[in-house]
Order: sequence, then structure tokens, then C-alpha cells
Amino acid sequence: MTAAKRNKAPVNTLIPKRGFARFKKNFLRDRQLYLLIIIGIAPFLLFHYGPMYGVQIAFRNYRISDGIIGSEWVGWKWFNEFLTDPNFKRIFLNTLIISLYSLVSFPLPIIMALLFNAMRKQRYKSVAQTISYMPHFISMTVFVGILNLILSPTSGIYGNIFRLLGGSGYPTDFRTLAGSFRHLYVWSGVWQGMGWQTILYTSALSSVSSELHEAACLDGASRFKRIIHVDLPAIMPTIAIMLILRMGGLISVGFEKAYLMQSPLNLSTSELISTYVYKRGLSDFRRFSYGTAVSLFNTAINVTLMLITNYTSKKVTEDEISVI
Amino acid sequence: MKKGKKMTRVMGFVLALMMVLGLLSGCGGNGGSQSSGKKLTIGIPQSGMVTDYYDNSFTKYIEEKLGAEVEFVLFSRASEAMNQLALMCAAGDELPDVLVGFSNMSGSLMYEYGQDGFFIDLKDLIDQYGTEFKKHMEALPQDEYDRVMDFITKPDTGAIYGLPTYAAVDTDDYVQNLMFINEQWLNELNLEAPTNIDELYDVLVAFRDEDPNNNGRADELPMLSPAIYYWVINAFVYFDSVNPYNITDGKVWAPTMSEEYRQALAYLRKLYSEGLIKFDSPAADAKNTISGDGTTARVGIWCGYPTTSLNHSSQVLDQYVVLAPLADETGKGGYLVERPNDLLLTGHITKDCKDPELAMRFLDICYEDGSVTRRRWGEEGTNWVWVDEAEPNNYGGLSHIKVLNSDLFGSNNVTWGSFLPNIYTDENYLVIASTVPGFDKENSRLCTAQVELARTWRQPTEKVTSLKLTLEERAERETINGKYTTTLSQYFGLFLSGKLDSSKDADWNKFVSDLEACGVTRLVEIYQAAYDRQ
Repeated sequence: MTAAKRNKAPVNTLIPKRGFARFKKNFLRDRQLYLLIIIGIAPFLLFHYGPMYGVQIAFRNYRISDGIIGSEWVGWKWFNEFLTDPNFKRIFLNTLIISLYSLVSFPLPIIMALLFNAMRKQRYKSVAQTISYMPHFISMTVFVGILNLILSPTSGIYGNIFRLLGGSGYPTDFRTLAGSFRHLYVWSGVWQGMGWQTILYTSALSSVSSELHEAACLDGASRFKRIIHVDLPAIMPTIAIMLILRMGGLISVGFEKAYLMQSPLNLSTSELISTYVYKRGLSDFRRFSYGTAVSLFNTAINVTLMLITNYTSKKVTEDEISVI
Repeated sequence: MKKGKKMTRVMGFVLALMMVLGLLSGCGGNGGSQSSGKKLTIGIPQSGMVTDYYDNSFTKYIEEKLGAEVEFVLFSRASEAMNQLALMCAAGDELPDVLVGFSNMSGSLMYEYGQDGFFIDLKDLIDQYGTEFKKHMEALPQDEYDRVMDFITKPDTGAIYGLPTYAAVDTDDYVQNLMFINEQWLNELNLEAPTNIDELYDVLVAFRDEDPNNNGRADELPMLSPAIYYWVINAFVYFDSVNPYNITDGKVWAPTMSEEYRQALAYLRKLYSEGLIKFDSPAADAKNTISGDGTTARVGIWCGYPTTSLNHSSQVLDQYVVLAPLADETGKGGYLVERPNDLLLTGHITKDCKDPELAMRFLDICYEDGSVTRRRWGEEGTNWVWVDEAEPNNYGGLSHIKVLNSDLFGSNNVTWGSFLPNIYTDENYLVIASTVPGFDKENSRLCTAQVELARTWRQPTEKVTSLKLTLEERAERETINGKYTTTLSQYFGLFLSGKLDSSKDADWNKFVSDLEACGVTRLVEIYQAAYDRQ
């Protein structure tokens, strides 16, 4: 063996050694680059990995005065409590349904970006784009306020239109209906976020080579054909990556909006994991451990979903598109 | 080339300057004005009504009395402020010297903060500096004195971690808001005010169909909730939404699992499906609805504070009278629920307070009669005056406080707009009726009628709120009640919207078994044990 090693020695100087030795060599050579990386990595270590130390309170009966380490270890108690809670099934289903439903809005920004890209008048295009971004900048509280005002059957635009068209009395109040919560939630979200989400696709589209378009034109492709056969394949990798990332956040449905849109009558559909964690984990009795346990459960599902999507994407695209 | 270099240098200088300025402005907040005197930091949930806490006549009044400078740490609204406080403690942040106005603080939560060392024990401080507090407490009748002391004292150690706001007055602010019915509509349709649920149904149908406001349009809303459905449930069974447990003949039971509650749900479903009751969720929306167009009323029956439930410009309030609690078809029921907020925990001194004596003196100043009136009405002399000649108030007594300025329900900088540790008495709280701002005569009429009714109306003889629980039992109650209220409101929505049918045994049993799974039966046992101990 030693002879063999010695034989290979000259080659070793050309091909970097394996493992740590190789790393060390590279590190010494590129130390300035590594120094630069620290700036990028430090926030991650400090603000993303550091706090994970505290995740253990999900398995402890955390009391502030005892500290994280000093609190009693209770194992799976909080997970048990959540899973046996009579509300668990409904809350979990609510969260799942609303996140799956939210997925229908995924292709919309893509279509919109393709449309923007196909516009001929540059000025009209940029005005339309800017207008479509605007709702994104409205704060969620104000946004839900606007929604409530518009949809008020007594004093809102919705009620007034109803009466204008000859209706008598008041129309159904969708804000308080359990059945309409999901539609309101998803489609108001589309209105608010669609313009903003086009940005990424627009930038991907701008890098499509104009030669491809010219070639397609020469071959007699129509505008629509060019969108389908030139633009869309060009942004496909971006779309796939966005989908994977989206799947990673599938169960973590935004807390504020649902919380703001809740009313006593629509709770049966509007109570989500995130709002329940807030109510039971923070507001009730400072049950930080319980809140952490539920969030951890939530995160575990999210990670699993993301890995599945990532794996599928890897298989389908033959290792071309994946985030890990 | 040379020019480019110069440009880079200029840009570099500008960037460096910006960074330095950024650092400086970051420090600005902490610098503050250095004064030679003492300083007290007060943590208070911010009120939207208050335009400025520093340039504020109540602040000036406190600073003058205290002989120290006051600084504020502003929290968000009362309910969210509790979460903010919890997070501050968990993160190990420095707390303000004193916390006032955290009116959502529950007894068990306060004990826990005390036990964890975040609040300090005020017992000795009260003995030494709490003269005004003691004076007002000793003026209370013995049973009320005991109730307040029990509430603020930790049962096992006897430590006091907070001072109370206690309303030792009988005003409309401290009974559950009664229902108001449009008397003009009743007269228009030749109807009597309903006394039970069957009559209520007929009246609501008439309100809906017969255009009582005479404008030729079907814009009438017979009944407006959210709070009002409690009254309908209470026609069937005593139901206190905060503590939904009852005691009858020495037995504790949960009204939500009873046959009466089931009937109440069916009845509400009937009203809802026929468009007789409407749930307006955002408060501002309900306000517009009740106010109508200013002269024409739109709502038949509603419930809320007469002072704040309508827009100020609206004239429709004079059409309404108080509607007594309703009975069910057998004549039973018709209970009146008291508001539970006549006793709150609103003043705490924290572990980070360097001068507990100063903090305690501040809390004690809040108990002075002058401070109590100032808290509510603003500056003495400008907003209200103390007159020697007493005149009638809204509640059948005489008062010396004459309100001059009537704009205190809007934005102002003369109060702090939140609860402070106070003991309200007839002397310092009730004002001369003719000077009450807001809706003046009409408002007073409704307030007076509410209180008169509240004094005479039916109440259960025993309530779970008076039972004493141990610390462990309290903690268990909080856990169970958290799930309980969520389940209750979810099912309420399901039953009301018709997704579930309370008359179907399968749906009803599912509801009851879910309540049991929350631990309601366990909590009934806890209450029963506490009841048997007494």
C-alpha cells in the first residue's frame, strides 16, 4: 500500500488531496475570499442558526426565571397536547386547504409577466407594471381595512352597487361567512401580490436572447407562438425554483392577514395553525413551550414538503433544477 | 483618469459621512435630556386618542406632584401589550420602572410574573407610602374590601404584585351593555316591546318587512350583533361568555353542554337564516350602521355603549329605549350578565426599578380623588371644575363634578387614555348629568335606565367567579379555557351558518364530545372541588 501511495505521489501534487487536507490547502490559498464569506455567513449563524438553540424549549416546560437549560424536560408533552386538541384536525385542515388553494395563484404572475413582456408600447408597459406593484406596499392592516370597507354590505362599495342594481336591503356579508373566507383570503392576496411577483419573471424574460425571437419570426411564428415556444421555456428554470421555494413555505400561511380577517362567525375556516399558536402560545398564558412545539411541528412538515418537491424536480429535470 | 479618482474619493467621503450620521441618529434616542432631578420610566399601552404623552397636561400634573421627571415606554393596545411584555421578559430586556394600564393582566399571570421576579412585592411599600390607596380601600364596605384584597394578593405567600383599578360605583360602564330597541319603530307598527323570545321574533319580522322607518326602502336591520347574541343565549340559560360555568343548588355545570344552550343555538340559527340578526364585524362599520344616515335609523335592536356606538353627528339615539333582558317561552331565563371588568390589575413595579419609593409614590398619587377625575375628564379648571353646589347625576345621586369641555372622547393631550390604578367612588367618578359630554340628554337617559334595570334584574345567586382556586388549578383553568373558547366560537359559527345543525343529535354530540375533549368536564370538577371547600 505504501508503495502504491508513493507511486501516486507526483500525481497528488497536481490533483488536490481529498477531504480536510484539500480543504486546508484551498483555505490557505483563498483565505481572502473566505474572509469575505464571513460577512455573508455571520448573519446566518447569528440570526438563523444561533436561535435554534432555543428550539429545545419545545421539549421543556419553559419558565423564564428558570432559563432554557434550567427548565424541566417534558419530552413530547406539548406535541401530544396539540395533536390531541379537539381543534387540531380542523386547524390543520384549514391551514392545508388554504395553502393548497393559494397555489392556484402561482401561475398568475407568470402569465402576467409574459403579457407585460409581450406589450409593444414601452411607456404603457412600465405604467401598468408600476400600478400593479402598488398594492404590495400597502401594510397588511390597512389592506384588510380597505377590504372590509369595500365589502361592507351597509356602507361599502359592494353594498352600494348591490342597491344600485336594484337589490333591496343588504347583500350577503362575505366578510363574516365561514364559506367565503378562503376565497377572500386567496383572491385578495392575488390582487395584492401578483404585480410584485412578476418582477422575478420579468427580469428572467429580459435575458431571453433577441436572436431567438428573430429566428422564430423568420420561421413565421406568431406573437403567441413565440411566447409559448421561446419565452416560456426560457423562464422555466426560474419557475421551477420558485415552485420549490413556494412548497417550502406551504404550511406557514401568513399570520397577520388571517388574524385580521377573523370574525366570530368565520373562525371555523379562518383559524389557522399560525393564529392558534399566537392565541394559545402567547396571548393566553405565555406558554412559549407550547407555541414553539406547534411551530416546530409546522416547520417539520414544511421541510418535508420542500424536500419532496425538490426530489421530484431533480428526477423530472435530471438534476438540472433543484435547490439542494 | 484623474477625474474618476477624484469622483471615487468624493463618493467615499459622502458614504462615510452618511454612515457616521446614521450611527449618531441611532444614538439620539438614548441620549435624552439630562436633568438633575429624579426620573421615573412608565410603561403604558398607547391609546389612539392621545396625541402626545410628553406635552400632556396629565403628565405635567404627575410630574409636579411627584417632583420627578416622567418618561414613557409606549406599548401597543392593551391586548397586544401583554404579548409585548411577555416577549420583553423572555428576551431579558430592561423593563420600565412602573407598568400601568395593562388591563388584560389576569391574576394568575401576575402571580407568575411576581414569582419569576419580574414584578416586586408591594406589601411593605404600600404600608409606607400608600396612604391614598389605603384611605380609599378602607372606605370600601367590608365585602368589597375583601374581594379587592383577595384579587391582588397571591394566595400562598401573601405577596402583592399589583395594584387594582376598582369601580366602587354603579354605572353603566360596569354592567354588561343592555340592548336598545327603537321605540319609534315600535310605535309606528303599533307593537309592544318584546319580553320573551317569541315576541322578539314577531317584532323582528315586523321590523324587517313593514318599513318602520318610512323611507320606502327595505334598509332596516332588525338586530345587530356581535355582542347582542349573548343576550339571546341568556334568555335560555345564564351564560357569561368569559366564565361559562354555572352553579345551581351546589352543583357546578357547563351551560354550553345544556339542552337550553342547544335551543338557543337553534333559535339564533332561525334568526340568522331569516336575516333578522346581522353580524357586523369591524366596530367602525357597526357604528356607521347604527348611526343610519343621521336622521333615519336603520337598526331595530343593538347593544353597546350609547356614548361611543354612534357617530357624533347622528340624531337617531333619541329613538331608542332600553330593552329588558328577555325570557324564553316558559318565562324562565332573562338573566343579566355583569361586566367582569369592574376590578382590574393596572399598576406594577418591575424588577428594574431603581427607586421603588418614587414608583410607589407615583402609584399612590393615582389614587388621589383629583387624579381619578383628571384621568377621565382631563385638566381641572379647563375641562372640568369642582362645584360646591351638588347637582343630580345620571344614577340617582348628587355630584360635585361639572364637566366643561365635551370633546374628550376624541383626540386629546390632557389624559393618558388608559386605565390607571384608581378606585372610583361616587365622589370622584360621577359627574353632574346635565354636563355629560357626548349625547347629553339622550345618552344620560339610556345610562340611567340601564343602571336602574341592572340593579333590579335577575342574577344567579352563586357564580364561579367568586370561587377561590389554587395556583395549580388556575394554571389548569387557563389551559382548558384557551381551547374551550376556541372550540366554542368555532362551533358557534358552524351552527349559526347552518354547516352543522344543532337539532341533529349527531352534530350536537360531536360538539359536546369536543368540549369534553377540551377538558370542560375537568374544569367543572375543579370548580366543584373549590365550591365544596368553601
